[in-house]
Amino acid sequence: MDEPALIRDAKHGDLDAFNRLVLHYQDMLYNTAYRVLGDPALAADATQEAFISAFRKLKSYRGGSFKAWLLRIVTNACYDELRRKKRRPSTPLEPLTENDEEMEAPRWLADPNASPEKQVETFELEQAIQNCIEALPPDFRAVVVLTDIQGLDYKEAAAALKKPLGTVKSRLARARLRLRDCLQAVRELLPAAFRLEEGSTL
Amino acid sequence: MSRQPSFRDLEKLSAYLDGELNASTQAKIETRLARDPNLRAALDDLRLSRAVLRRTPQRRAPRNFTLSPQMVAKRPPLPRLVPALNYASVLAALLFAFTFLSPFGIGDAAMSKAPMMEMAAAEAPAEEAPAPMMMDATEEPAAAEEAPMMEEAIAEDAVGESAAAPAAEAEAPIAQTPTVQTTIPEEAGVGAGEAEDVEATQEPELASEPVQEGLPATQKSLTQATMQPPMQTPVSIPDTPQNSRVQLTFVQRILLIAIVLFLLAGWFLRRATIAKWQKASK
Repeated sequence: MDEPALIRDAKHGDLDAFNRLVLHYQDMLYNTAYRVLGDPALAADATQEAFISAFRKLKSYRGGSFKAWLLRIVTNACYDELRRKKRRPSTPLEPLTENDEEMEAPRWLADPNASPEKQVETFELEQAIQNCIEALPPDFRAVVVLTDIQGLDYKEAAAALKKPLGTVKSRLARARLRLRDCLQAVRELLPAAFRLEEGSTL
Repeated sequence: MSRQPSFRDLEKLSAYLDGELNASTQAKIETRLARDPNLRAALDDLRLSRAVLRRTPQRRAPRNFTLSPQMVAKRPPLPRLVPALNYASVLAALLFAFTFLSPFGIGDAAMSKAPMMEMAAAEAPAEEAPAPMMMDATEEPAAAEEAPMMEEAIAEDAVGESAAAPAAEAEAPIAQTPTVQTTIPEEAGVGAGEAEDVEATQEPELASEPVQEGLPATQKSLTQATMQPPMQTPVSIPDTPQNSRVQLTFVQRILLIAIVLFLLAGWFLRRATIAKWQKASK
């Protein structure tokens, strides 16, 4: 795929060229949206919105990583979805402290609906990880999804999130620590190689 | 060395894991890692978290997210003529509006005639009117009325005595009002009824006033005769300025036609392009 040529054509209004880019990136965008939103239907909406707005403001794309540019758009679309969801909240799960403080007791882990046994039975590993990701504040979620799941480096993630490098670094560290705590609770689901050590002090 | 690493240390460890530390910080953290088992444990935790996340299965998009022209509400590329036509019609409209504003600013042939006509109406002899009206090449009705007025003026000249006055008036149009007032009693004194009538039919108000003031002794039939024509003349003379407002000048007509033509052409062109594009996109 000749990406620069396709982008150039798409900039001139060639929808076919842009659709080839869509086909190439749709899995990545959908995955990102799904990991951030945790809902397949919402993720699909956000992905579609992201591609539409990407095509509309394609002229504002000035080189650099097209992937990061697309990821920024989809992340913003996800934030919009989350804001919309917040306006009409379906679940009151907001475990985050606003001032970035480390939470000593991760009370968001307490799931009133399903016991750990039930979780083991019903949730796959992926679902367990997804639950942990969704327990993170949206900003942390986006950082961890972009770097650890989509494999962006810090610079790309900073560009995609329009945040300073230091912010990305710090948020990623916090997100990883929280995820570690969360994943420990579902360690039975993890493959042996990923088992977190019992004796860890963190 | 604290038992639990601080968040600053953990942040460094996280970045170290990703190879995002600069060389000196990296060297420092490596020496500390070698000494501090807690730090090593924290690093292992972070590494495990990252490994789990990296192993998260990628989901396939549930459908294709390709865009259709309707979805992006993409406008067809309009020919450049469309905006050009729009601008042209706006320009024509501005010019059109300007032709009406001009009397207050720079004198415009089309509009300066209105005050001129009033002046001419206030003056006694008829020569006054034709002269400025000749300037108005654009004013057709005015031009049409010139001829009879000229004839009347000639007739008046033929009568004789007032010949000097019109000549003076032609040279100094503004200063002529007093001279008119002086000439009229003379004419009336001579008893040139024809001259009176001719004057009366042309300039009713001024002509009648001097006659009434300056000639209280003269017969009332004559003053009545002079009073009567004013009833008729306002129909003919003020008619001209009125026409100039309702009937547009040549330039104004051209501009009006241009506005409509440009707008219509732009609209049809746009419609045709969109229709063609919609057909093609289906």
